[in-house]
Amino acid sequence: MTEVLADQQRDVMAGEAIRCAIRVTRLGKRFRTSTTELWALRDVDFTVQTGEFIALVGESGCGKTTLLRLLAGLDTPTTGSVMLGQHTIQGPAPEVGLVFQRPVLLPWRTVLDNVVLPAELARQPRQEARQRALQWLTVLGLRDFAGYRPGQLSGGMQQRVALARTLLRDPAVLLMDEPFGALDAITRAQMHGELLRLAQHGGRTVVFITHDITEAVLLADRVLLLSPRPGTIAQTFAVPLPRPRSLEMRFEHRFIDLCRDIHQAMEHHKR
Amino acid sequence: MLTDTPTPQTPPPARSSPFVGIWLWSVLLLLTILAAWYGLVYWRRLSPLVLPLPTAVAFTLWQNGYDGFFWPHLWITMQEILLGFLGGSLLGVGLGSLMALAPRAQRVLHPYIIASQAMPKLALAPLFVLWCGFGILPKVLIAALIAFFPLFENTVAGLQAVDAEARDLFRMLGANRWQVFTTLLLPSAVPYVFAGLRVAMVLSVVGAVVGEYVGANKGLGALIMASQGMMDTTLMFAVFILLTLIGIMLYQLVIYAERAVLARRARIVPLQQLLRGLEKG
Repeated sequence: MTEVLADQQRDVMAGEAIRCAIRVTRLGKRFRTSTTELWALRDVDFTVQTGEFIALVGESGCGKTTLLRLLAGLDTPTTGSVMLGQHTIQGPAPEVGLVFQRPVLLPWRTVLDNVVLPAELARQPRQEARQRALQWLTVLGLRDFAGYRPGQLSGGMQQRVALARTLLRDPAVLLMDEPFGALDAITRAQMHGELLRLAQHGGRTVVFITHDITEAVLLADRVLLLSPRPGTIAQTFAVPLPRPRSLEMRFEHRFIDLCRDIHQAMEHHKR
Repeated sequence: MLTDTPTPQTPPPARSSPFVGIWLWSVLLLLTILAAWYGLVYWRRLSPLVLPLPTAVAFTLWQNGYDGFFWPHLWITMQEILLGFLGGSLLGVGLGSLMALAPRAQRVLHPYIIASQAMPKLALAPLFVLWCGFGILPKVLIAALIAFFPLFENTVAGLQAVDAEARDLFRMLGANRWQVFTTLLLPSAVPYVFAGLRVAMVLSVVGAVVGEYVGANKGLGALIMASQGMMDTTLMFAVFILLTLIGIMLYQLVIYAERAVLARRARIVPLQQLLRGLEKG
């Protein structure tokens, strides 16, 4: 908690000098049924700087996905606000891209047409969009599968198509909701490699949700620990590992130490 | 799904022998039924007025087909079936889409839809004849009415079956209502619509024939009524068989259309073709 406050103070002191990509202030979300009401999130405060990679970790049911949906503008907060740059988020914004837990591809479209979808819906010139889509597919190693249908690809490939689709709009902020949760360990490590490569140039801001501490430490600049019921930021950990990151760093002492710290904090905040 | 190698979309190896075996059994079953039919008529000395011999039915079928007696009737009934099927299907998909797009309208109309489905629609046939006379119009209307519901129901179900995450995706991408409908909802409903079309096709045949029972001087249904008047049971059986053949043929056409559409959706587009498309622009 103290770290969060220090963080905020620093931001306030620096004023506009620090370019703040996302500022979450006293964010709360309440769900009501006829008999009960539940605060899924309460008093969530944090900031993400431009180009920063943030990981939100917490056990399942601690409000991670609720938080991400608020950041994406898919839900409206009960209290507080989410600022994106100078604007309060009121709905989905074009500069925010979201990668879901599942690939969510349109099975009747080819891989290429799935990636082109955002440009098509934005009524951008077709040929140019298709060329960009093919470039992203090439970057993600899927060029040869551009004409395949999603059902003909493996789970890892499908999730890469979903990533290419999100990147087509070149979003300044990338929100990812356990995007590799359904993949096997080897494919997952492969995807970590891809994401590190993509995130490390272009100054994209990333908010990555996971329940996997190792994944969080490997990818992020800062790890925010969410504690459950009501979901709130319990602790913030800076990741002291240099960039570019590599998968081998997982076996270093400081990596393992940090993972242990986060794990212990997670156990401590468990209710 | 865990490997990163593409799975080639080859059909499973043709298992020819069991398939031929099943086909053979089907034919044998048919022959057995025909033989039993023949035997029943022959040994019990049934009057052809009650049950004609299968050979007599086959002969009538062939003769009336050959000398052209059936064709004008067949043509009229086909028109009724197809127009009714098309009209009912279009209306079903259209109204179904409207319902799915306007949830409030759906809630208001829900009890009436249930009521109209519970109502025996064929019972309306005399009313349609009263309103529209003895031409093909009342038959088309009955066929359309009876074809409407499976499509209406399946369209609504198909449009509502789209998962919430896909809707969220389209919201994230800033799609408007119309784009969501044309790009997401309608394509996902296609398999449901085809399931509805299959049912509607068979029901249209029923609708057209029952419409003809109530009041017509042409058409296969009218021919059945006429054969009843003439006590020509053999002719009646021949028309039954003709109607069954029409039903099977039309049903198969819908199946082929469905297969063609679904195969098109699963087709791998060669990379060269995609690249060529890109160069042109």
